[in-house]
Amino acid sequence: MTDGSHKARITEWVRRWNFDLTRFMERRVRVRADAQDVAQEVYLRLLRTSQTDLIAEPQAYLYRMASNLAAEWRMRSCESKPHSSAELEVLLETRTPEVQLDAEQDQARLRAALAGLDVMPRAVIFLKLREGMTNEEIASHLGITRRMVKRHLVIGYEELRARLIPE
Amino acid sequence: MTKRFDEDVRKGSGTRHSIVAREAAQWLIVLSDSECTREEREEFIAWLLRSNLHVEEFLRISELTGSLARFRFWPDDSVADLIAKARAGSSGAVVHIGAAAASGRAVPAGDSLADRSVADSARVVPRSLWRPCLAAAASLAIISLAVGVIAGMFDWSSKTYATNAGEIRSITLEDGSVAELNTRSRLRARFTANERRVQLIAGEAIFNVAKNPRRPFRVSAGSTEIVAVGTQFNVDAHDSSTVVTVLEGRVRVTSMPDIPPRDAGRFNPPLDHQIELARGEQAIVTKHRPPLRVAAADTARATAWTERRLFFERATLRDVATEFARYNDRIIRINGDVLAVKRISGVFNATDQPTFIEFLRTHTDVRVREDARGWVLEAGASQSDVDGAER
Repeated sequence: MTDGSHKARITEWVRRWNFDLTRFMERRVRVRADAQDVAQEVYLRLLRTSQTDLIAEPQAYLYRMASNLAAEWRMRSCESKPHSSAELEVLLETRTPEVQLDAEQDQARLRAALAGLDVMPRAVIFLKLREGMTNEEIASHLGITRRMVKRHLVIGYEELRARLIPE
Repeated sequence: MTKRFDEDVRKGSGTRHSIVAREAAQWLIVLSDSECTREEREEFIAWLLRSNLHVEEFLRISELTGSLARFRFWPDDSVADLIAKARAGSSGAVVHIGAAAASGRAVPAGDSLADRSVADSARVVPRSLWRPCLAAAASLAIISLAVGVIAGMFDWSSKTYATNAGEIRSITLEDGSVAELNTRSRLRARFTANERRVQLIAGEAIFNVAKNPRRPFRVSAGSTEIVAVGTQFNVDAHDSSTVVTVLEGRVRVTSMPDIPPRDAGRFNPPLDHQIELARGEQAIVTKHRPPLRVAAADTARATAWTERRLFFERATLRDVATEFARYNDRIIRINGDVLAVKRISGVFNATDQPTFIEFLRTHTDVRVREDARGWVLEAGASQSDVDGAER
């Protein structure tokens, strides 16, 4: 019983922060906002936010802030650039050929970057992100400790970040 | 920052950027852990507030993992292989039984997963030893077929489950997955060491699949094949089409052509005949057609049958009668085409037909006659839309 409710709680929790992250990503793609600009503005807003609001779910709070920001920018750019019809189309139509091409290129890059990872980080990342397993589940599945799971995750994330996001 | 972080990982040189990237990755992992504490969250906030560079890296790495979670090109085969390799690598020895025992001990005592891990590892031991040989032989059709036969001799079980009219049954399959079988449905389960195969011969079922990426869970219904790894989904098999609704996780749906089942494994369907569904998505699969994706399905409605409720929204009386017939032995027959397309809206108890009949009796345009087989509906005075209420 407790096991079931525990699991339900985790599922709900994962669902919620995934939702916020997804929305953030969608909005950012739509606005094509620069990561640095978004981060700068989010940082300034974080400084003005009370800790009590942040503490319950800092991650979800962060993503929500970033996605709201992207939405604001989108609205603002709609207002400030009413004469550029091309710009407007890009803003209104999310599935432009350009965005689609980007998506395809992104997928190809992701695939290449994943293929370049060592076996362990790749397996751990797969089980975590694709199968949605908890660290405990991954550990027992692969026959390693939870500490090792975390370590491989860090190595994997870091490697992917270095490969996929140019400085 | 925090002592939870691995010293080995923290060490090592790097530019300022890459150090921040590593910290961001570590924080993401700590926060995504269900056991993340309040202290850790506080530490995280303090770290964020220290620099806008921290915010930037954290958002970047979140975005990266977000796109990986939505990545649709992880091929099943390479993943099973990958995990086998990872497991083999983690033991550092050829004797897998030793590795399995070690992994069982490595999990903290009192963790409910520990037992499962030992059992799970023990069960798959022979397979992980075989795997390198199998991989080499996979390109030879004859050999892989022979392997299929051998696997069948060693551990092959086929069980059939069926429900009668009005019956809803919850079946726990041998791997721990649960199938909720709706009325008048039939299901056959055949589990081998490397896959779990379930055939929904007729009717509807919800599958709550136990996680095991090394042993894919495949459901076939008519010409539809659904592959899931750890997920929950509903399959409604009709004569002409199959409706798949994903309640949790992710599944791959394939519209299969007419080929003998034993050849199905070697068949590569056209790309557009295969789609992936995420939580809340639904696909309608018709023979020889690409699956049709329906985004944002009403999952509450798709699973209403588990509570024996039937939802109708401007459904024709003919459809309503057909739906009731799935749950009951006594049937409702309709005389006249005009009456058959009368629209009905409402929520009814699937096994309580008399209440529904009473509801119809309140409409002046319907006359009800009862006989030994059930009820006969005939047109009364005028046609009008009716709305029902929760019964």
